[in-house]
Amino acid sequence: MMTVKGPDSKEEMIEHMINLYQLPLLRLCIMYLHDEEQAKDAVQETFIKAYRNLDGFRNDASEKTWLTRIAINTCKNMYRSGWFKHIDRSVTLDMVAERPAPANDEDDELTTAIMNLPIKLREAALICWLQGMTNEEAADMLGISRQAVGSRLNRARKKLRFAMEGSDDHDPA
Amino acid sequence: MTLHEEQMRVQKAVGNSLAYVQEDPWLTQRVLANAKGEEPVKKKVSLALVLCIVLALALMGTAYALFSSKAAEFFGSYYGDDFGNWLAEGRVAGIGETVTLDGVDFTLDEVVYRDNGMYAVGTARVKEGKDVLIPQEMTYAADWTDKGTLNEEDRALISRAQAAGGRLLSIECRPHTIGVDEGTMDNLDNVGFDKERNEDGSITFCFETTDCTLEEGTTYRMEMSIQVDEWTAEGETDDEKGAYQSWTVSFAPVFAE
Repeated sequence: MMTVKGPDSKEEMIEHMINLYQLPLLRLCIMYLHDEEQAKDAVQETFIKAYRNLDGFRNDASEKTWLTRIAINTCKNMYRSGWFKHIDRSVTLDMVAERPAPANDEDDELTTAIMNLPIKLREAALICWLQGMTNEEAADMLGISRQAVGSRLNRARKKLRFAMEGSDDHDPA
Repeated sequence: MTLHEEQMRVQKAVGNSLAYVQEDPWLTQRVLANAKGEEPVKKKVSLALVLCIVLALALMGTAYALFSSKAAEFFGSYYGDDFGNWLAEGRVAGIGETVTLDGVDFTLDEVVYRDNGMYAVGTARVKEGKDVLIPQEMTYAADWTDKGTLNEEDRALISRAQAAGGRLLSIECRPHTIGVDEGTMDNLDNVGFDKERNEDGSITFCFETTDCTLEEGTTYRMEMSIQVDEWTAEGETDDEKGAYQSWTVSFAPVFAE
């Protein structure tokens, strides 16, 4: 992964990361948690953890991969907390937040379908498709084998086939 | 569709659907303030948390009452005795209807209607004693082979199924549409649901409509889906072995005497 020469101080580094990744991470967390306010908390928590661990961040992973890993773990912890454990809602986009206007039907249909995937499939789909990570990176992030990631993506594909248009059964692993 | 095309498709869809999401211009300041311990970050309180707090406050300091309803007892165990008492005063329909899917008996035990909301409780049991129903928490765990992921009870369930040559099964039962007094079947979009494993190995499942817009009527017709998934000892499911079907029940809830 090519990296652009970045800022030097910790404060500048975290500001640089927030400027670059705040929005993508917020979308990721909304898709994971189904709640915009919870997602904002998760993003804030992600950058706080990142700041505190900047000294341990080595460039053997990209910033995006590193922050995605922290965000996924933060969401996972929040998801397993009491409220989400007991109320696992089937959601629509309008339930997540008040939107000024809907996007086009096809986009909303696919986004909603991904949000309503079972949690294990949703994690794999968000990491590999939304964040654009490889199966290896997802496997490392989720603590499972690369094959298991491929299997989850295939199961997600089957469930999303109606919205993905012409998806074939294939395992890119 | 290639993997790259899938990524582009998903990124475009999510980007458009969530295009309204705005950056927080104060996030850097709040992160730095919190991380350095200079000042506490103002914690945003979500609607869900507010509802929880309001519900908890409303349920405090109330007296226990005997429940005449299984649904009231079950939901009361979640939300507190007052909520159970409140629910027990609703209109109750004992159902007791059972369907079998992939070796699992699903019984819808009871539905309660109260104040434009519906609350249902049912039970799932394996027909073959060697099969094992796993608790909901196990399905959340990422990798069952990783030590520390599962507790001893969960691991005992895996061992029991393996020793008996049985299957590890998870179940789902969710409502999708409902019709009131022979009217059209309308979507139930806002539904909360949960499952709890019982000591006898059965699973109690429940669901509730949470938007309180269900019309009052005499009779109701509800369409649900039930699902059984088979899990490996490593914590993976196989789509080829899963089973799914719809299930429709009719009921007429009445006030308890």
